[in-house]
Amino acid sequence: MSGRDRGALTEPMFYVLMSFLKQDMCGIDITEFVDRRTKGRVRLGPGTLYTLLAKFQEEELIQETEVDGRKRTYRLTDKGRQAYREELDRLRACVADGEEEENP
Amino acid sequence: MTNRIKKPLPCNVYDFRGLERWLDEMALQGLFFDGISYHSDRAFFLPGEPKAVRYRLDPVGKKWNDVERKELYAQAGWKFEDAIPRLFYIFSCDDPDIPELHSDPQAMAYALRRTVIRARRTLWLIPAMLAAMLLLLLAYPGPQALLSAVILMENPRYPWFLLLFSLLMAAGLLQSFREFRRLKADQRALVLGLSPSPRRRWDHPGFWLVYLLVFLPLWGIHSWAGSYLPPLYTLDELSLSLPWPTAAQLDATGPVPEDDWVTLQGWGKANSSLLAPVQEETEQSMDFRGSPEFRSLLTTRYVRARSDGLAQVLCRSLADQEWKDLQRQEKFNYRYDFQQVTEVGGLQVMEHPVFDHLEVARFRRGGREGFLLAGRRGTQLLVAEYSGPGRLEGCLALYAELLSPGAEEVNP
Repeated sequence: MSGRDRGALTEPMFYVLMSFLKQDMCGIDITEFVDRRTKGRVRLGPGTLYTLLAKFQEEELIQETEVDGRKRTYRLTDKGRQAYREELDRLRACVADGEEEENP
Repeated sequence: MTNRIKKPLPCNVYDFRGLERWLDEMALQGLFFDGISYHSDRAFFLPGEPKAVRYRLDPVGKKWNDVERKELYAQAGWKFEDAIPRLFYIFSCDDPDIPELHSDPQAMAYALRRTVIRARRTLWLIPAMLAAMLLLLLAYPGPQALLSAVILMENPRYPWFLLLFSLLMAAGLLQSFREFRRLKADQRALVLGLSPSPRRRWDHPGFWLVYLLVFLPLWGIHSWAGSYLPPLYTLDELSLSLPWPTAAQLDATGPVPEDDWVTLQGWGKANSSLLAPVQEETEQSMDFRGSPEFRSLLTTRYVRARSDGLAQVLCRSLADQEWKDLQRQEKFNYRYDFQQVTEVGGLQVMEHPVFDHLEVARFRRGGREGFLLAGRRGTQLLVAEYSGPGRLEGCLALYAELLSPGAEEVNP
């Protein structure tokens, strides 16, 4: 499924994908990353995180790399990276349109 | 010992926002959720100092009793309380600084997907099973036989209960479809990033209206109408409404003289309740104990229905059933020749001055002539099957005499 078929990502979806760009992550790491990166603006509920991890796995945007007891670690797939980039491009275009409209 | 307080749920379990709001309100009143009943229709509470607690329903996903999820949520400050089987887990949090369980409505919509699929499957499974059952019954024994079986039910309450049960099932299914549609609407709202609103609770006048229209009549019928088991009588105890001719009398219409009749079996029941579709029903069979070649067989069934219409339905159905039974007997190889049924003819309508409707089929049993007759006069219905030396015309005259106007009716 390409990003266009999927539709726009919500903010939590976008930041969860972003969290995997540099390294593999587990649930707690992702929550901390989103909180730090957005300076508390986007607050990721555990229900949302759990659902998104399941959804992204099902859509093959991330894959499980390690299971240590209850701790599961995930990695971004090529498809996930592409979906992230498509969303980033879409957001850039939105911002550019908005700025151009404000300062022609 | 703690005092556990039980309260009925004020809304459907699919109304997750309504349940969440209700549980939050109860906590503010000092009642803290402690579990849900087996049938998910009541909630248990423990009393305490009122405080703000958030209760949130989390859709069950692929896995039931997901321990990993419970631990992950616990690390994030959400405590598992209980679950509505196969629909939602219920979590609570009393720290206002902890983020909402579901902070992204679209992710929540995705989480609801399996709940919706399960609800849809359950919703269609019940009518599909009922429809399959009904089709099976309509295919065998068939609609007419089914209808007559309902009319002839042993207890006159049963057809009414069946009717009410069917109505209640239909109403319940309609309500379930309605709730399911609302759940789908909630899911659509979440996809659009909106938060679904709790729906109106059940403690409004509509509930009492349903109670008055459905449960009160049900209770009334159960309590008053035909509230007894109809007594069954043996033939010794029963003085028949009409004293039916014996096989010996029928035999006498033919060339063979009367002989000793030693076997008489049967039963009867009577119910004069206004709601009883069948007021009286008797069945008797007589068997001639002679040498096999002279053995006569007679079965007489008499029904007095509440109305002409019911008698018509029963007459058509019972004639058909008995005739099919003769056809089955024809295909069956009996051990003794005198039992063997052969040459079963079709049911033919006959004109008769006494009967409103009369159908007769001829056959042979053990080489002897026999007939099946199903006759109706007003609300009275007679089905007789006889094989012996008697002649149809003579036998009909005997029955007609008994069913003709002025014949005395005697209840047991």
